[in-house]
Amino acid sequence: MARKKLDTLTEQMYYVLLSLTKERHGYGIMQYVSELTGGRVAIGAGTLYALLARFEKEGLIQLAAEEENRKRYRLTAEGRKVLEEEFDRLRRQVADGERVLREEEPS
Amino acid sequence: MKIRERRAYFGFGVRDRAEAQRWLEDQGQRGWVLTRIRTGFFPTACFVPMEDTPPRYCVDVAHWSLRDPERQRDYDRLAADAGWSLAAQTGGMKIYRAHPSQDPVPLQTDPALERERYRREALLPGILTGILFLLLLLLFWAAGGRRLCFYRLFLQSNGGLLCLAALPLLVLGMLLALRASRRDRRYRRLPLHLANAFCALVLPLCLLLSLPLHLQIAGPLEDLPPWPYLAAEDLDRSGSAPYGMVLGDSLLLKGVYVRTPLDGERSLQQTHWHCQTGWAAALVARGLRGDGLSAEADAAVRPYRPIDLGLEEAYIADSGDYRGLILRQGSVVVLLKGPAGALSGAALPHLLECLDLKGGL
Repeated sequence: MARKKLDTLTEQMYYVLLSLTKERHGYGIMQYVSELTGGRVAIGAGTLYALLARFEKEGLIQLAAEEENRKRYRLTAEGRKVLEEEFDRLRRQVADGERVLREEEPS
Repeated sequence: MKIRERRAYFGFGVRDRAEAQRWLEDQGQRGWVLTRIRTGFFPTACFVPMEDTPPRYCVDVAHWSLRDPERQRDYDRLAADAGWSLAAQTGGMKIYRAHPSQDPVPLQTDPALERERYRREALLPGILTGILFLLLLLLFWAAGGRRLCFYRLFLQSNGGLLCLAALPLLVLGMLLALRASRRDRRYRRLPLHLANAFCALVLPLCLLLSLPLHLQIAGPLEDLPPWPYLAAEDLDRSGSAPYGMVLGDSLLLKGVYVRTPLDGERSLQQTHWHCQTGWAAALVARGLRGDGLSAEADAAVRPYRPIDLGLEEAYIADSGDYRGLILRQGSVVVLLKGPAGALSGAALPHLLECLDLKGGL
């Protein structure tokens, strides 16, 4: 189902924003995400392009520079806020999961 | 040395891009690599032989936002960095080929995002197909008269018959395009490109075959099929020579309109339909009956009612001193419209004999 608002980020959205805490160009983002996740998360060029366009439109990232016809992006303050919120949400999810699942384990 | 090139029909639409990708990779397995796609009514994919390992393809939706050349350049550069180079483009699709000896991540890795893009992209072709469909109906409506009628739309020209064959495919294509936008996977294996090919061939042919009917002009009876037309003498009237024109000419039926001017009275109008089968004649009779009888002096349309003349079907309608008769025997249908006195009950047996519609008389 299509997401209208970025109140919840998908895994790929999360990692794209995470990678833009430092200034990077498109292919740099793909490489960084792959390295960070040990190849578990792979972002296709088409998907990445669509996400960058969407994030830029919503003011979460901004164009930082253009080198050798490659655009470099970085997170905006708004993007940082969205990323932090998503991080908190995920941490709470993990904490809830830990509490329930660990309680089930025999002591 | 001239490089051997092979061409193959490429009728895939955006909705069957997954099928297109499989087909291209299948060509690769057979040793052919895509070089370009010639677009137009009959798009063809051009291949040349290759010796390397079979290439991987990725068929992508050409999103409207990428029609800006600068954005497209950015997109292609990012795809190239990731290991994909643009091989060809057609319609709403862009075909990328993986760089040799690379195994890149597919261009689209978020199915929800891809479906969203596809839905937007498929909307325009869907609307255009709908407009084409309506134009086609309008064309035949204009040719057939003020009332939309099955036999006028589809049976009276070979173009119409072909349309009849193409219509279900057009409608199916539209429905599947709408449904496929929601549940893409379920429809990936349908051979929609064959339906597209059929429609692409049939629709221009329909228009071409319909043209001769529009160019018909009235002429003497000698130019018409040698059927038994009524003359003024058959009605015990005096009048000038009848003239007429071909109304329809298809593999299934032929139709002729004849007008016989009568001295001091309104003309007798005859429409003769000779069909290949009885059911086609029954359809024509039903269509004529549905028109009702309208006389120039009387704006109201009078309905036809059944009458027993010993024929398979016979209907009569009166509007003041104007009378209409629909007569069907076997695969022949005749519509007569004229002065009520000339088409009176007493005159009918003789008229049926002149028309060679003896039936049960």
